[in-house]
Amino acid sequence: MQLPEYYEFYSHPKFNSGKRALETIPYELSTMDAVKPLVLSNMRASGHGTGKKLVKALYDSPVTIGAFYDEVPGVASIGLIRDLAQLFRDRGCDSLIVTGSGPVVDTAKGVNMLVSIEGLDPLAPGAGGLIGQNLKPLVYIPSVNACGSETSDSAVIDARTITSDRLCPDLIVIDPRMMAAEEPGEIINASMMVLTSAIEASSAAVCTPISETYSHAAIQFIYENLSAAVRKPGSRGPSMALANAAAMSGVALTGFSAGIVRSLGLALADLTGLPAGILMGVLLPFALEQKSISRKGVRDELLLALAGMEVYSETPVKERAGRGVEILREFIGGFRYHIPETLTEMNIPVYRLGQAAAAAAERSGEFSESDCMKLLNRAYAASGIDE
Amino acid sequence: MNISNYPEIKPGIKYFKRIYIAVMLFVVGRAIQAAARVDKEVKQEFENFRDGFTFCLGVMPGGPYMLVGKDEKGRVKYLGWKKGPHKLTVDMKIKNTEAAFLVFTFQESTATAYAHDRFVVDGDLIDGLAIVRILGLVEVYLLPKIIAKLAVKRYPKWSEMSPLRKYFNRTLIYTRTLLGF
Amino acid sequence: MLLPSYYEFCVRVKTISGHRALEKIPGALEKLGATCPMIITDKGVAGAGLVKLVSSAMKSKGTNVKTGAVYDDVPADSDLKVIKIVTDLYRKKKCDSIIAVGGGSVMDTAKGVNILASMGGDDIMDYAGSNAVKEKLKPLIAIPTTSGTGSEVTLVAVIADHENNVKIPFTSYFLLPDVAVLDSRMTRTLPPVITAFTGMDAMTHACEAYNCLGKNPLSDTTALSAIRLISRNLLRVVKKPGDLDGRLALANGAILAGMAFSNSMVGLVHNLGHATGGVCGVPHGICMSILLPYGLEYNLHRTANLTGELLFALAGEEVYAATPKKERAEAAIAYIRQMNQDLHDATGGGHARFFNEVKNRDGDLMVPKDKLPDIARTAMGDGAKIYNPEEISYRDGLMVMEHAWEGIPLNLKKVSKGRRGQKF
Repeated sequence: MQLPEYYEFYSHPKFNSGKRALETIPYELSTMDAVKPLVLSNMRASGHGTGKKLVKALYDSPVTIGAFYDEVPGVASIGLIRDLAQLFRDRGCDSLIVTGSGPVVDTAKGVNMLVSIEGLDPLAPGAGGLIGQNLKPLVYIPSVNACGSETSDSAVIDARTITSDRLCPDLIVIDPRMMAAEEPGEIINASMMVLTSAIEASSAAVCTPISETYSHAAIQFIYENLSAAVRKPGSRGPSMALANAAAMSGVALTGFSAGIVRSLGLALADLTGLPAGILMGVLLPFALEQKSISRKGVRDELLLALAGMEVYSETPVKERAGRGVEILREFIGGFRYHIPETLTEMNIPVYRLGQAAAAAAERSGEFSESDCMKLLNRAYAASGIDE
Repeated sequence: MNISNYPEIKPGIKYFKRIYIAVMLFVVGRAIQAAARVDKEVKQEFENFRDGFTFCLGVMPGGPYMLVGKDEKGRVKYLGWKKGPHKLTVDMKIKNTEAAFLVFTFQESTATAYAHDRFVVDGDLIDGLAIVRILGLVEVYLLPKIIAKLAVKRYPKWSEMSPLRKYFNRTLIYTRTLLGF
Repeated sequence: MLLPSYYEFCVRVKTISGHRALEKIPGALEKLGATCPMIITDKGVAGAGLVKLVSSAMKSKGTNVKTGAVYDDVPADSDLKVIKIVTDLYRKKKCDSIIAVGGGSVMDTAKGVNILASMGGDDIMDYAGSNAVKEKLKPLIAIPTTSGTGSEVTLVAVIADHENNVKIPFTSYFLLPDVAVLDSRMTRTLPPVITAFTGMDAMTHACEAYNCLGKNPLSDTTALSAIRLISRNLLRVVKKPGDLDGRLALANGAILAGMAFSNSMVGLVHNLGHATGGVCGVPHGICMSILLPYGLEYNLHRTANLTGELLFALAGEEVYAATPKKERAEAAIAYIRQMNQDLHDATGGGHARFFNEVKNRDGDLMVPKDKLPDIARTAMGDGAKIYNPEEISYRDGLMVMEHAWEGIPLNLKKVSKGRRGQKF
């Protein structure tokens, strides 16, 4: 267990998870003096019928939906955000409910910035630091392909990252009725992002005992449930576990900058158009084997989070870190159909590696370009033997 | 953006569930009145309340409700389903219709519902707990064992409630509940 | 990892932890828009120089924060009447925030004062109940000085009504402090006996949180982390009070335990413990240490598998691996009894192992045997019983208290068992 000499940690969101969780929204909104939310989701919600379920869940309450906009696209852009902010004001809304993953939530966070603080330009440099007050209430309802960034303190709008602890949702509502069946590839992509965030958060030098509890729970949920969720998409138990894991990993990430695997995964995804989560799934085992994940190396706790108390206790102390890495590689190897073993198999041109390394190192500042290249080269090669 | 494509959506009403809950609350309210006259444990619980004690069990935000109170003469009465004129000593509210439906269809026991933070209790929690005990006893009387076991944490053993007491009192409580005295 | 059918979890408290964390207070207050805090504490804390430490740490350059008032006479048990007195002082001095420096009763008093000061009115009973406080309160900074109650992160305040000999709970998410500051200097001089029973108080919070009806994944992981920190550091710090790293570890264990139980609630141990405190005036931590093994035993037929998992965090991996699965629950309970014994030895008999060992300053028994029925009766009115896996009737409570008084393990045949196992 890691106890830093000094730390600060704040987790803002409240979790409401389980049976009939959606119906708690009106009461929770009332505690935040809100009755008229603007609801945002992506196009799939209407296809799956989850949008209708959300509307019905708000029956028998004083909550009127100001507008239900269900066409948020796959990228958060300032143009749409401004339009939605205007819609929010025109309808006299006082809160936001957003369902879906990634860019939909970033869009909602962008809208929240505009409607709460007059004259704020989210894309201006240092915009996050200018948010000096609480924003309007924001309720987030994860789907099974939530990737973790939704509940964190950042938003990506037009490729710019804005960070502020006021951006975190106030309430996370995880309800089995919102777990629509998604493609296995999507689920794995999202879960790999969640797993990477959780492992990197718990490996960080400034990992605190409190953030560790969130990341530990997230890692364990993914490990125990991903296979079942992929085998039978839409099955409630595993889907709920994955959605919980995503929400928790975002909280664990709050206050940390992205680790090497997450940064490289996102950078390569920007350059190649390949799914970021799959890229992270390829890189993660190499990063752990190579101990790039953190200057302190791999922690024993990874084995505890993945395999549980029994296996952890039975493994000799000196072997725990190694066993944790082995188990992770086996676990990711179980999804070989979706996650190749090396980057070569993804047909990434070699010159992209250098570009990705440069972009990742610049964005993060926690690791160097040569650290990134070392990892990328290792993950690119056909063999994974220790150097 | 054509905003007329995204109109306001006002909340609907869950008629069937509200009616079901209203009926259950009515029955439970009258059953508490009956049990207070028939069962010594329920009687004892009410004796610990002061005269004028009134409690309400209902659903947020606007009902249905059930009110039971103890008048100046110490008699326990079902006071109806309107909150209006009564000054409440304890106001137990379930946060939404769905949560109330879970409780009244015994998918969640009272204790589980509390653990799931489904309740808001205004007033002294000591009194609130006494009400939960009374509700538990009434459920044991009203419901067959197989269902009552879902509602209460521990079904009374023979030593705590003999079959004679249970069946005899059950008959009296059913009769009084139906006839309202 | 268990995912219950429904759960809620919220720890909306900023935690600052370190060997010089107090110095962050002015910045934290300014961020909350406050500049005139009232310090609420008790004579013991003030006498130990801890309030002076807080005040001097707050004097940083360029800050507008200035202490508005200090109230240092909170009684050992937070009291309804005191809350009114302190609130009047708060209003008189036009304070806009509160800094609570102390243990559980100081924290509870501060929360109570915050209710009245923010909501208005003169009678805090207007806000009694569960979720009865429905609005954001004024800024509250909590600085624990014990090892500890965890009150700095809980949504509960328990205020004693000494006239009627009962404890009144107030629960609401709005009671959560805004900031919790853990500074090793605040517990450095805490006497061994108090360290021992407040540490066991935290241990109880974590163990009960792991077993009770509101259990959820986040409270589980926080509880296990708490138990590991406490079991590794408590005896060490009791024997060597100046160990600052150990003190900080215990403070973190206590806050994690507080986070756990605030969200998953507690059960029999707190149910009977509150009643014992209310009827006989026994400090909360002492009741917890004594009753903890009994609470776990009482619920064995429901949660033996969970109690078995506690052994991992309590005794460590080697003992866990070496103990057959069927024996782990009993081993965990035995470990806790052994902890109480070790603390008893390390404090020269100061840490009580059972109720007929608890004596006041004059050497009189604090829990006379004839008070046990009163305690069992009072426990019927305590909210914690709702969250205990098994029902607790008057007879059950009395039976457990009798065993805890004598110091003999619970006779499991006497436990009236409902169903076996527990669904969450």
